[in-house]
Amino acid sequence: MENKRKYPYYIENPTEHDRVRQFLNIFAAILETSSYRYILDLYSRVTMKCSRCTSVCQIYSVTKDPKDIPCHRSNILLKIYKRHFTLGGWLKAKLTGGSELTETDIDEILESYWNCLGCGRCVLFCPLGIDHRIILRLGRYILSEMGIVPKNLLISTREQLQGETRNTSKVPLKGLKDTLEFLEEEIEEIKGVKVKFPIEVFDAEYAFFTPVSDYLVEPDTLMGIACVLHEGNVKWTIPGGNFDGVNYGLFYSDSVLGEVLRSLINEVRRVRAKKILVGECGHSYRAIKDFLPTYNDGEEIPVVNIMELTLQLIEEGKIELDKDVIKQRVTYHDPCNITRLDRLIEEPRKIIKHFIKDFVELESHGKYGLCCGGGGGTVAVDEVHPYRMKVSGKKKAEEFKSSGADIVITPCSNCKKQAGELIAHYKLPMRHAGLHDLIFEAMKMKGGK
Amino acid sequence: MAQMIDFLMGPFFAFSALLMILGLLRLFIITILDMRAAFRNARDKDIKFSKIIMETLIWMLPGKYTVNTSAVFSMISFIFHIGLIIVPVFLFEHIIIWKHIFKFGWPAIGKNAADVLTLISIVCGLILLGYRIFSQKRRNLSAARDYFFLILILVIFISGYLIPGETHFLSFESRMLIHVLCGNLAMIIFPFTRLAHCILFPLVRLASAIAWHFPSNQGRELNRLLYGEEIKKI
Repeated sequence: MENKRKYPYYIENPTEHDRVRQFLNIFAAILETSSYRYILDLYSRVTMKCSRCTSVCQIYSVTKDPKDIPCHRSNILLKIYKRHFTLGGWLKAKLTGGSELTETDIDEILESYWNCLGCGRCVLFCPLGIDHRIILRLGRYILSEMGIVPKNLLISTREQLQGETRNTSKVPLKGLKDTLEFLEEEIEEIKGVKVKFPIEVFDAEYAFFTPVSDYLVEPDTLMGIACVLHEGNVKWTIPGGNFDGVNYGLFYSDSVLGEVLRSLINEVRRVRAKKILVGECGHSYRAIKDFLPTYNDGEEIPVVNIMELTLQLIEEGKIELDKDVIKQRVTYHDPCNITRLDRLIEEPRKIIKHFIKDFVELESHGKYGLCCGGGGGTVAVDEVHPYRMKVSGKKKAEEFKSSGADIVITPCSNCKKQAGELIAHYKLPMRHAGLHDLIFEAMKMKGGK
Repeated sequence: MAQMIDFLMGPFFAFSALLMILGLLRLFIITILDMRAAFRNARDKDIKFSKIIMETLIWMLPGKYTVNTSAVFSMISFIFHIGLIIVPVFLFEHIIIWKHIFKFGWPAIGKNAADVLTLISIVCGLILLGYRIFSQKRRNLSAARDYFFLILILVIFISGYLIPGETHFLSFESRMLIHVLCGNLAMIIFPFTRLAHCILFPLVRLASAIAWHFPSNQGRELNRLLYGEEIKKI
């Protein structure tokens, strides 16, 4: 069969020689060093291909392409595993021949596994509880060790782990300081209160991490967060050595996931902060909350999402919000990295109830919400922008439209980018905003305007 | 043919039943041991066991199958499984055969109840087969073995249902032979195919949860193995 080799996204140094042997060697090494083997054995023994996952996959519902069925996607890797790494597979090959890994299979994996958003919606509806995200990440992990990673993610990760600036957007510390100085001036002009963004403060209660891009493109969110923490008299700091909450390892590499978290942990210990405070970013929160304990060999570090802290401060009466500022109809998008595990579903809604009168839910919300369409790292891959608009984000755009909302709250950096692009692409009569953007608008500050 | 049937209901049944039970038990134990090993290798041992067990139990009830997706298909599949489990285990005639070989038995369900459950399972099974053939997304997912399992179960249930009655196209011995042959075949292949989900499904959610708790040094061990150094240049 002729190999239709193609890379649908830019790869730094495309591997062109003996990819099959490379794939299998890396797969074998990962199996040797990890605990993936037992889950591959189990999944290959239980999956009954009942197709319940097809009805809830927002990608398959648009493409109707069998390759986008979650079970089918996982089965590609499971078949390779059985054929090359199990006794049964070896015996079957001796008797019947065929089903070895081919270059065409690798082409299928590298396209299919980066078409999936890793949103986990299929997992919620599988009667057996098969977690296709595990297989997805394993497939991407193998590819990444072959050098097959979307170039944007690779370059960003390289800068974060080995570059001078130690962040994915190559922002030097001086650049950050200048930006924060500007934001402080903005807050004073708008709210009439001097609010500081504390950099390199030692022994603070919270070390704050958010995607570094937020400092550049989400000023309102940052200003909202800073004002909340100021009014709440919270002792926080932005560590100057590493201030980037992005962790692309969550999407494609256990190795990168670990190294980024280790770097973050070292930074928290360096500034002697007691807890980690994560900004409005779903993947950043999930990477830190769920995986920090794996890579932290010291004392436990509690992890708090800014929405949890903001709600606490509101309920303690430390934050006053004007109910007459946000007059538009508002809806809320649940970031899948936060809510799939039943987390932080009620907290933002309780905050919203304090100051937004006209609130409507999206058709799918909470734990069962649709992905923004840019999940799994795809939002950072520019080459798949048309795919994110016309395929993976289509259902979400329809949902935004049918809500009739003027504002959609998207408390996640990746979701903000994707939502903004969807609104522009489909010319939806609405805008997107972070939760703390609106809090900033509605906030009454002590001694302020 | 009578001798063949006696053999299939006697020594061969004993062999098939033991192979099935011991094979499934082996898979169950191996999976538990693997999960334990993975859990031990993980640094982060914080797993919400009670929540996962509750979730697993909830998925054994019909409620979850009726919401959001493929509700009709899911309910038919659920009902199909009820007869699939109850009839082979609690049918009076099956218990007699078992008792004859293994010298112990258990209470049986009434004949009418068995007949009704068998019929329901046959109807549900045929509908599920129809779904697999006529639904494009299910057809796309299906390989030959997916049809084979379902057809095998249907043949067992239909032949079993027809055994007591009179038919013009198949003699009693033929019906018996088909039934016991297919029944034995099903028992033999259970531990070696995806039919093993019958014993493994209670473990899947817990196994999936544990799988997210990686060994903390995995990345560096991998680098050492592949590149000879703990931290590689990206």
